[in-house]
Amino acid sequence: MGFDSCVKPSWCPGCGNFGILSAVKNALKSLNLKTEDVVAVSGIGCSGKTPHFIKNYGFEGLHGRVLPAASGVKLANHGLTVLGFAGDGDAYGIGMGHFIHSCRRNIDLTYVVHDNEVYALTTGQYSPSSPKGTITKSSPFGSLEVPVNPVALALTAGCSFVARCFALDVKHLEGVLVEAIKHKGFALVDVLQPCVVWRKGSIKFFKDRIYDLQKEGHDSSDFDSALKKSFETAESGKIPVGVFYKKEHPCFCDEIPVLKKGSLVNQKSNSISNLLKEFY
Amino acid sequence: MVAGKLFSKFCQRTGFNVFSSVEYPSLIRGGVNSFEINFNNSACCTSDFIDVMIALNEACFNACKHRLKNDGFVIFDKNIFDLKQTNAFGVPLSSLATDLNDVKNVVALGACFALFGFDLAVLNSVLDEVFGGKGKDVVDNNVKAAVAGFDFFKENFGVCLNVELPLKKGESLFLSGNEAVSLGAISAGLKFFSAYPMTPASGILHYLAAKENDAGIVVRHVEDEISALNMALGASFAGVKSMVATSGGGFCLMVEALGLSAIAEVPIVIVEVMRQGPSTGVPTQTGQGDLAFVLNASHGQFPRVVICPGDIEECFYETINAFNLAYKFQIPVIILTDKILAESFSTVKPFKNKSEIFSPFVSCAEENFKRYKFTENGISPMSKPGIKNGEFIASSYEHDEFGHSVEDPESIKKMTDKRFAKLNDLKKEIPEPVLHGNKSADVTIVSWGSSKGAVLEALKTLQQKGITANFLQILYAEPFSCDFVKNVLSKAKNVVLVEGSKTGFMADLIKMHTGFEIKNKILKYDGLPFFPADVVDGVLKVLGLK
Repeated sequence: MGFDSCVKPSWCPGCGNFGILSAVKNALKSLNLKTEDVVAVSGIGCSGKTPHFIKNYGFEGLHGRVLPAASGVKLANHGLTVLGFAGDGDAYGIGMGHFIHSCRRNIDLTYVVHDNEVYALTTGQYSPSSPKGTITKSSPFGSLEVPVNPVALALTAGCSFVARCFALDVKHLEGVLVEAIKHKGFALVDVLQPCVVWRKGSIKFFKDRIYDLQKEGHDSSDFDSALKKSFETAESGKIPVGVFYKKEHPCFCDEIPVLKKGSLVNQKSNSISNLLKEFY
Repeated sequence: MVAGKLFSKFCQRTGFNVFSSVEYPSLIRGGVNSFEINFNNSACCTSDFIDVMIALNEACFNACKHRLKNDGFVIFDKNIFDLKQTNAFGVPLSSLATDLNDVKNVVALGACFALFGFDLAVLNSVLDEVFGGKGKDVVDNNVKAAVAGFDFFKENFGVCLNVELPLKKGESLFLSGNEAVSLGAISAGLKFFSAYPMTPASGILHYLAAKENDAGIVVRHVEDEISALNMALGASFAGVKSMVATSGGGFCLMVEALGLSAIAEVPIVIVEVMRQGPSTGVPTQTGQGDLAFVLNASHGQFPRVVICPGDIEECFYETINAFNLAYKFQIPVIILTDKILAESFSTVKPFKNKSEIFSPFVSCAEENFKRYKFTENGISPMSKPGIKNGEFIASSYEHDEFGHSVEDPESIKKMTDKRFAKLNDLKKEIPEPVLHGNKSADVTIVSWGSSKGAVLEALKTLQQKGITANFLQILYAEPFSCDFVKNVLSKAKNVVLVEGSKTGFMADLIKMHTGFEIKNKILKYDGLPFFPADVVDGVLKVLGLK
């Protein structure tokens, strides 16, 4: 019961998405949220199916457009808990523009990125987070671009909650998700997600490199320290996981005067009689 | 621009019908800018010729002189240039304005009042209203400027046209098409509007943004048009009536999300304000070249509504209809206007405010709620987040009754049929086209959108020449009223299409729906609106009388 949906996940056995799904449902349950007050917005890709596997209102929209849709939902009813689920292609490729602007907006929603460094559902092309030189169907001689650094990008774009997790460390992910959902503002949770079909060996690759920021005594209120940590990427041999940075600022909806009266969806429509006066 | 607006307000207050249009280049400073006011007892479009021109500089005079009537009146700034022709009156606008903080346009307006024989007192009350917010000094300055111009003209030129004032003075509103669309939307229950600035649609964003608090709506200027439509769909899904507005290029970016609205059955109203295209085209000039595009945009097939308001009054009422249709049938509705409608101003009868706002969402739901339930009329119950048991997935994939993805042939066909079933009732709810004039006429003019004003004016001129003409105005391009149109055209003697495009697509649409082929076309695609003379001359040519 709780947040379990009647639809069985269609992911490959062993997929990192199972860990993410589990952590999300547990987090929602522990926060005592009602299923009808949770909206899961997704894009296209394996991660896009996530809303179907949770008992909630879901919006499985267009590739790259998770954040605009999720923002629209939140603005219409800011009493809802809104989660966005996007793959690394969705979030850091086609959706990169919306990602940067959402960080700037500090709109109160949680953005879970299923970062498996590949375009899995379309059969294995390289993605914005694939390491340089990755060989795939669309890059038979090795990809030429350096991978994105979403943590650094988020920090410099003004993101008020920046975290990275590992999909197989479900308990840790659950904890970070609870914090992210509770955080009033835009929260990025970049989840390193092993893809058992297209990125074989990625489980060991991540396990060998990740270390817990909080266990190392990282101060998540220290922006400079967070930024420095964000440059520790796979190439450096160490990948930090946990909360890089967290700061409470006024969130988007709190600064819109109309929403001070309550959720937009509950507000009655106004008559135009007063508005017509200037045209007489 | 300001002087033009002031003069228009004066005319409105005095009881004239006014139609004012604006021409400006795609620049911030300089270029030729003009504001044309057509006022009389029945003005509804741009006039063929200008009777009186206020020329603030030589470049503007030269750009517009071809529109001036023979021996038309010109009030020009004699401090800057000279004009030697009949009825040209040089007024030292610049020097009269120098002491008054550069309000030479208002000086010119004052001179104009003397020429027309109008009462300055009414103008002064308009000045007080328009500039009152900026302080008494500003108002006084402007009043002094008007008086200076008025006195100079009266003392130096013994000319007065003694224009007759209207006898009846009914109440009217004076506003632009963009403002009318905005007000219609608010009247219909709009709560969320997202947009990216794009000429000539930006007026809607500006108006709604200024009215956010007064109207109780959320208005967001977002990072691009893709974000705008996707965000509006999220808001609509979450239970709030939403709209976006853009021009052709912005609509191009919205095309993918248009399909999302259709398949997920998320209602939306999209305003497309045409400019001269294709591509960036001429941002500040008008055209009617996007009809085929909006009718067919987005891959796959699905029902939509496309409304083409013909005047500013229709911009208001048809926007209300757009919302009611979108939210009742859970489909995308496109309102297609153009620069001329959007940015021209006209007097209209005060709008009748409807009290009942249609509410499309269920108030509660039972377990196993089927958001996309198969029904005879294709319309399924619509829940929204917050409603217990109403959970569903709005998906861009083909789906079952709960919104979960399907790929089997039977499901695909069944859900497609369900969406199309909506057309049956939809066709019954849209208004029929209007046949203006007598049922029987020598010529039947077919047109849509902003050419309405020019066509109606042309009917009068043709009548004076002994030619009876009627006008079939297509208001809804989709769904199309096949029977009505077929009936009118089959009985018509001579049919002529009037359209502001290169190919006259409405003729193709009519042929597709009715089999009737319109061979005669009056087409204009130079960025300018139709003048009544364009229509009259075109009809005379068709009849072999020119």
